[in-house]
Amino acid sequence: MSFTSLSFFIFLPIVLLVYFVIPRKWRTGWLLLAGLGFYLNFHPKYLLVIVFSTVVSYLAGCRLESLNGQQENGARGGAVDDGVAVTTRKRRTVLILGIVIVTAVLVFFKYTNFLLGNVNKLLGLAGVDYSVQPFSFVLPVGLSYYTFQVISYIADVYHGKIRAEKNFLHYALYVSFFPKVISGPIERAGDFLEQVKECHNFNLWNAKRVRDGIVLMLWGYFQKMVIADRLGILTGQVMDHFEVYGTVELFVAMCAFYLQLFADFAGYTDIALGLAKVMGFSLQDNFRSPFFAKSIREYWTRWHISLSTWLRDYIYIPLGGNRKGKARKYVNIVITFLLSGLWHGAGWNYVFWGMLHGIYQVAEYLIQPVVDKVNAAFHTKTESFSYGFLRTVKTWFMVALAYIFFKVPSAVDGFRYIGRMLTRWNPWAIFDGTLYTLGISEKYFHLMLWFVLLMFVVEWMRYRKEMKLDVWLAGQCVWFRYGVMIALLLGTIVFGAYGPAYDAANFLYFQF
Amino acid sequence: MNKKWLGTIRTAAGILVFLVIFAALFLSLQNTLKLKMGHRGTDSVKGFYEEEEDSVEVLCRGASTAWCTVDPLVLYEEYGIAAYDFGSSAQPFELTAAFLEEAFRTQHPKVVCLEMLSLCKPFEEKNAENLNYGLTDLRFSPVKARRVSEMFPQDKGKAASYLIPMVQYKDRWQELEKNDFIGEYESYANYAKGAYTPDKIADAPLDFTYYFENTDAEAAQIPERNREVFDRMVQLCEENGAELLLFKAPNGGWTMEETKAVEGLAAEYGLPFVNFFDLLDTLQIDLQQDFRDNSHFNRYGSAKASAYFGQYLKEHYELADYRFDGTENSWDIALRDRAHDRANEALAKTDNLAEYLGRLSYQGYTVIYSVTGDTTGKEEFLQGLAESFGPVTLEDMQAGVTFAVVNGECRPELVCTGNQTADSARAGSRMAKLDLGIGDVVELTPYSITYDHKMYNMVDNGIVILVYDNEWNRLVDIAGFDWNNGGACVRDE
Repeated sequence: MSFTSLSFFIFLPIVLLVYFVIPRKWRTGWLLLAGLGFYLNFHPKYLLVIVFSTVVSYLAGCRLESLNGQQENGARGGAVDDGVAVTTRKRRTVLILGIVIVTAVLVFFKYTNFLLGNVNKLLGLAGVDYSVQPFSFVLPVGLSYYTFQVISYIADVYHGKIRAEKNFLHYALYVSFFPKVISGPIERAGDFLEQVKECHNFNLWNAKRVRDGIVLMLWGYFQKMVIADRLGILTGQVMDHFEVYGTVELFVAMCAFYLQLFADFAGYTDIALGLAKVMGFSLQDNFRSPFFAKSIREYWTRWHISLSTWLRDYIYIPLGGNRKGKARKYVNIVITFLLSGLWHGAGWNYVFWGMLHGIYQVAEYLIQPVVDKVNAAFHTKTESFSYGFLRTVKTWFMVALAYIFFKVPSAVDGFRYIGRMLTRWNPWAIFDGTLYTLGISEKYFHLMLWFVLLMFVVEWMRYRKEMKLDVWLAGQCVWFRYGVMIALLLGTIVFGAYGPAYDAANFLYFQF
Repeated sequence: MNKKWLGTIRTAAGILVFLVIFAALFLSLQNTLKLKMGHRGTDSVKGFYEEEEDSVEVLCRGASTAWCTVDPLVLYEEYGIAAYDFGSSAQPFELTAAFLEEAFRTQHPKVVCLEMLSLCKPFEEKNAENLNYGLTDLRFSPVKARRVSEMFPQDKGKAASYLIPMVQYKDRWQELEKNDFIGEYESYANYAKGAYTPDKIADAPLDFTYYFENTDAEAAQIPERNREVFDRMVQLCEENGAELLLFKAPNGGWTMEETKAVEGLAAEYGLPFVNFFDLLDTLQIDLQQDFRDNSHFNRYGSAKASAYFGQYLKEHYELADYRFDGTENSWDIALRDRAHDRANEALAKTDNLAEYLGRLSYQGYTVIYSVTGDTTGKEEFLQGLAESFGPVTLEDMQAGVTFAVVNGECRPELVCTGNQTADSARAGSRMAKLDLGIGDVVELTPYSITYDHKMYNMVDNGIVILVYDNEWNRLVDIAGFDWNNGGACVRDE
């Protein structure tokens, strides 16, 4: 049941209606039930997987809480060092065990076939006439997201950042809250569990909050169904058959894919945030105008924020972060981004994409002194708009280039794509109508340019004023506000890429 | 009333206004985007809803073979039968049943005539076009929702797309044209009563030898779903007091096996079956002149078939004669409208100038003349034309005049001529614009007429005539008569 499926449009009003009218004390139970129902709709048997991860992490949290208490009591009571050490060991054991078990589930479902494929390749290279058959199962939806959530929960309880949640229903809702269970944001337990506990006190009948939530949802649907899915037709046609296209088409497709990816994932996130807002919850945002980042480092503070902060807090910093010297810092960055690539998908192209971002960042650190010297030598006005603009454009294309590896089936194909884009020079394709033969008609092509411009304007507003569309719109006059809402709604209905003429397009980040 | 309640009422009112505005815009957009199917669906379906309740006594159902065979106006003109063809192009059997249910909501016909073309054809979900012909303009109702849902048991999304035409037609924004915004007609009342009987003649004679030679044929298999649907239709007719009559129009591709299947079904249910294949000789059907293509009767074939069918109905059922009951009913109006349309059609097919001018009506029409080239030898004709329409002079005629006659009257401001010495009222008048109807502007300039952004000056030496039907807001014809070529008629394709 994707957010854009017919069943979701039936499911959602029912869930909201019941949620708004039932007694307050039943809200948590109802949302949990809705979350499980939502999840059940994807692949019933994988409900067991999310339940397993929830139970394991819940028990680990409880045990850690109890051991934390023992340790604190021991420390206060002046217990002998051995006792404290035993408790510490036990805590560490529970931490590692909890994380290993939930991670094992992720590794099993997501990486087994990847590993087997590589083993088979190695066996083949070694001349061994034997191959291991891959498993035939699909990845449980949302597994990567909720696994990271429960890992952060266990780690935060271990470190004493939060208290373990005693109420299993509350904890289960944290894991399976349906707006975020499939593709995040990867919420931290501390923020979310507080809201769950307060859920029964929410004043749901707050028209302003509901309206703002709906605005976010509408904008999310517009981004997803109008921009992302339409661009997806073009990127699918060109990038899936890149061997037959020249520089212009490949370049356009590369840019379009970055735009598609953003519109798709930011669209999903806005729907999730808006939906949560309608229900009185507040989820962390995943995007802060990444198109306007001036460096790759800045880009990662603006793109998929819940993942990048998770990686920072639970991978990069535990690895030593920047506390152990420059060389180690660079190694830590590359390792973190390699894992980020692997998290996104079980394939060498994803690994390479992650590594590329790691290298980008290390290169930025290494080159920065040289850049500073050159700027000083040429008296470059580094505070000027134009300098910032050029840095933004450079970052934009570096990111877009790296995303080629996201789309093509293998890392080798990624290099072939880039090679072709650099060598099959065909500038006439800009003028001879070739661009209108890439899956979207001339009229749609022009319309898309306007819609992408609109998306940039909204993002620019966000960048300059740190204001999301719902907040900005709330400050406008009532006629304009509702006019925009109707325009978004009708725009999505008329221009959205859905219906019998289109293949149903899922959210790209579902697969991760 | 306290503040909280006031706030609640204000919020509720806001939501209501929002929903009303959204719904109005949505429905208006949907209407604009919907494909106008013409005789393939829209005319018949929308026209049906315009019929007065309980006024139809004979309801003819089925695909194009039904409404190209039974012409309700022939039935009315000759026998006074109030009939309607309620169908759509290439209609699957399941849709035929849905149409029947829909029809019974407003009409209670005594006889339902069912054309059997689709009986042995399995329902194909992929053939969206055929479903759209019928479903697009069929009003939303629980019956429609239920039947469409049954057609797509596994794919509710697809079912929904047929219930909300916007989903099917949203991409049409790229091909919208004037007609999509203004609507083709002011009223959807269908003077043809659902029939479509053009006078086109088939390129080659039809050959039904294959059909008649297959005497040993066994009955074709009727798909299970169609059998269930047929059973439902029989029940529906029984419940609504209508008698069911099966018939088959001759069409290429229909087989003896299928005829046997229909005969078997008719026998099983005790229903009458009129097979026009068996009547080809009796009705003296000409296999070329009476068909417009491989599958459909044209006007002439339909007239023969309808005359027979009317007689059959009269003989076998108790049907009233509505012709002379003293009141003008919608069939009388339809006959008048048909005469109007046929007159327009005849004009648009006339190639001889004298005959053309003879057929021209001025009341209710705008006629624009544009004279071009050398008028030597045509003075008498032009003098006559000039005398007919006051402000125009022979001198004007010789100088590339273009002038409009609206409802028989020609006004000075609607005369454009290249003649600078013309009377002062029109001196230098080089262009005039005339608003013909909704969005229909015609531009008059010396030597040419521009209509719908296209310039018409098809003949270098002759006369171009544009005829516009003011009553129906419709262009009837634009014809040029070439004096260089013996007055030959030239029309733009």
